[in-house]
Amino acid sequence: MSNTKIELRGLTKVYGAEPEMALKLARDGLTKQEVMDSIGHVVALRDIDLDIQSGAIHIVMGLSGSGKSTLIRLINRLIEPTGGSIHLEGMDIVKLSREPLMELRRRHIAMVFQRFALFPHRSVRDNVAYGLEVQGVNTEPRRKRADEWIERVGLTGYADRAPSELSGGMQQRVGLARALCAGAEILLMDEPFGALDPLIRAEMQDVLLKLQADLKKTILFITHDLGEALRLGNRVAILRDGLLVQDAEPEDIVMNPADAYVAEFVRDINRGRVLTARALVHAKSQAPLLAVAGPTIPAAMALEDAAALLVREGAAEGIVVLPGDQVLGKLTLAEIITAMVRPDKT
Amino acid sequence: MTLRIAGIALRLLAFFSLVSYFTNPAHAAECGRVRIAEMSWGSAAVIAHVERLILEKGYGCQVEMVAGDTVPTLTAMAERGEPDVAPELWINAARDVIERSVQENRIKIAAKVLSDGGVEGWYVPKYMVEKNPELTTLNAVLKRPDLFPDAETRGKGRFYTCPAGWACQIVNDNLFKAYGLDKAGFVAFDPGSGEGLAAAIAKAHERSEPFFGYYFGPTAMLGRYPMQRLGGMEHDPATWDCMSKPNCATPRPNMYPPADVIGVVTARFAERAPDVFAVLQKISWPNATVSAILAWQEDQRATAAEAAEHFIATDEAIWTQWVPAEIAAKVRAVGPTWYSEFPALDPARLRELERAIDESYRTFTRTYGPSIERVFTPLLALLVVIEDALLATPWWIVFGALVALVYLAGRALMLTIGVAVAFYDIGWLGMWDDTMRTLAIISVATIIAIALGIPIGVWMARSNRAQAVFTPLLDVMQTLPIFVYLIPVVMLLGLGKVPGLIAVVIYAIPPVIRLTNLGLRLVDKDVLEAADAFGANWRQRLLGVQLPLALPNVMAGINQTVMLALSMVVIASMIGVRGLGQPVLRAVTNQYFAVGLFYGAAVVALAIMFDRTFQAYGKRVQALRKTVP
Repeated sequence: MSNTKIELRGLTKVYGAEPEMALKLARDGLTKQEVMDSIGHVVALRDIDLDIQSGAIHIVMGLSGSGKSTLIRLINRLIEPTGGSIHLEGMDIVKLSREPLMELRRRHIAMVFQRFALFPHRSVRDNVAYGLEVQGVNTEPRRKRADEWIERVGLTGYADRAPSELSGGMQQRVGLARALCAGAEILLMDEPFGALDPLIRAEMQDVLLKLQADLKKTILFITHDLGEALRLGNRVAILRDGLLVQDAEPEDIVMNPADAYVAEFVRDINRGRVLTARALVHAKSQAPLLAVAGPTIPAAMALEDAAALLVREGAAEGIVVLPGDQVLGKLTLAEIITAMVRPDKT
Repeated sequence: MTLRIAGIALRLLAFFSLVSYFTNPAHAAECGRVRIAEMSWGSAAVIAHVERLILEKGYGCQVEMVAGDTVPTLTAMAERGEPDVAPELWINAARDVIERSVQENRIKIAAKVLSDGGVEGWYVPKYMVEKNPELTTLNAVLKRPDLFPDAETRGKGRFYTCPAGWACQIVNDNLFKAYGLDKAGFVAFDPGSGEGLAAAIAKAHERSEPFFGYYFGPTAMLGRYPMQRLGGMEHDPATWDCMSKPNCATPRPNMYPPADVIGVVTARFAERAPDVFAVLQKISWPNATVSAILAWQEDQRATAAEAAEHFIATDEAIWTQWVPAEIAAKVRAVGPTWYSEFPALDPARLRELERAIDESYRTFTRTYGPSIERVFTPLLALLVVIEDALLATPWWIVFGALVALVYLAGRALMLTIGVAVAFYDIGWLGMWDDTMRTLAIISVATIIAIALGIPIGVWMARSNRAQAVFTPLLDVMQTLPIFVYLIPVVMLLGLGKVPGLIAVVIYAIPPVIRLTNLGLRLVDKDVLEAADAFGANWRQRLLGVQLPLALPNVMAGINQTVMLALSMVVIASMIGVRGLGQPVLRAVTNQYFAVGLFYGAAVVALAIMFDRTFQAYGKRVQALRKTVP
């Protein structure tokens, strides 16, 4: 599975005339605010090392000002990095000159925006076809492919509408179709569902998961919402004041927060719903048992469902199995309930 | 008690003020307020100020100077008794009005202010005569239209006639027919204004270029530039009367007689201030003196008022004959003025500075004028072609094409009908040709303004430095009084379409630049980022996203540019641009109310047509795009 698509090393962004000085201050231990106060420079991101797996959804989380949006824009160089490297299959994006960079944006990296950023003067179809238009694809094949994507994101019949005639959720479907239609294998999604209300957001998450099951794009996805992160993410990176504080599997983030900041992030989450039986088994890191009895719990089952299952069966423990009935381990009701309770309450 | 004291005090006060009033000759009862017309040409302006000085200092009058021109001033004097004095009128310019007003005892002739009379005639520069010695007669000139080419009419010679509103334009028109200038291959060119005519002569002399046209003296121009008055044209009193009428049925060869140049006052003023009238009856000066004063004035860059002071100070021999000795003493007494005047640069130094600037500009026009003119030749050719095409095409084709264009641009039926009706009325009221000329220059001006303005606006939107440079430049273009650059442009490029076009473009281009810049800068940053993220290059980004989104603002800018261009039509006519502006100008100077109204309405109709069509087009283009979320 360790198939790295994008490799960030020492990625740094400083706003100001003398980034070296600001970086030195920051490395000497001054906080972002202190650097700002002393020389007026903003250290937006500092020394980020991150591997993004091919075909995975990699979530980036953090509070406002933690550098999420900067990070995502460094990757297609909408923002020029101050230092570090971004390797995409061996090629350093930071070193690309203008033309290859444009080519990269046209064919390999597409983007979805928080506030949709649709072209208000173009129809839905022409919005979706924009990437192909920029690539120089002729009108007919362009329209044909755009219509296919419009259908796939569930907007059949809206191709000739203006974006302003659509609801927020539908507009972001256009945004998604526009990114996918360009044919890029990498998607940068900057809080794409942040502006939508909760029901529509859940619906859009389903749309994305369904598409991703087929498409296996490499996705960097920014969100504020831990629930969304855990639902979509194959991996979650957490940023704080421009530094990467943790990059782990979603359940690891919940079970083993790297520091108080991350712990605070995950404090209010409904652990019974986001943690799976598998994660708990892994956390126990016990050797697989041979002699087992009790009801079987699918590895992907949420803890609250597993608890309900054991209670219903009147059993004190169950066997966690992977698809294909491979046994993963054993969980007791007490372990499950303990894991579901917020750490600071135990 | 207090009341009685107050009453005595009041009576005393009244008594003393009465005494002081009668003992002070400055308050001679008959003078009071006097309005003197200051005409637009040099000699009249100077004599007006000479009279002001004499009346103010000698007779204690309160003099008010009123700007004037022959016909409007005479009309106002006859109809409303105002202004009181017109110091210099050329009888030829308004013989009828003067004779009638004198007969009806509305005005009184004071004196022949130019004792030798004025000279009017048709002139060519002396340097042309030196090259072609035969060019001293009209007949010789008529054989050589090729020597006086008109850049705007291929293969024709140009004859500079009088500007609209001058009575000599009528005489020239009749002479033009009588001598068959038309058949000889000449066209009459209206220079638009006295300043335009003078600038044309100056430009010709600076570069030894051809000139053939009307002028008059005594003037600084005739003093400064040696010109040959053409012979072979004799004054004939028998047919002259007809020649000065607008619709003379049988124009016969003739020429201006030596002009009687007179000062007049209103009859009411002559009664009210007989002393002053008596002085005005003596005011008369010889041409040599006038020419000398005007030459001094031009050399010194002086105002008419300064020239008048110079005359009072240096030519006592003349003006002391006009007034009694005790009055002359008062006029002579010039008090020190240093305490009341701004500590300005020493006048001599100032003059040196002005002269240096003028001279360097003259050198510049002499050196680069011809090549700059050559640069603009294609532009002139384009203008001429468009105008000729509009004029030569049968009216119903142009009419149909215009209406169709309006419909195609706007797809608005009511608008199209409105435009059709307006254009039909324009044609019906005899304004078709002038409207076509204006349409030609406005269209070209707008195209140039858009072609230059949008790229500059784009540049300003891309670069803050460009914005910092262009913004003050645009401020200057919008606020600098037009005449400040109009005359230098004429010195450089001559009278006519090209300088007119340049003036119109300078005046009209700022809105399209400003609003393009503004519109581009207002485009949503998120949307531009999206274009960048998809790898759009700057051209795709500009043409595919930025400009379309800025279009409402850009259209508003274009619209304003067209409106400003139209509003410049009248001013451009002052430097010889033909079209709807010239009749308006003529209407203003001659007080032809109806003509002004009709042609003004035609300008408005054009403006509304452009405005509504652009708006309808803009709306249609943006139909897809409703409210942006």
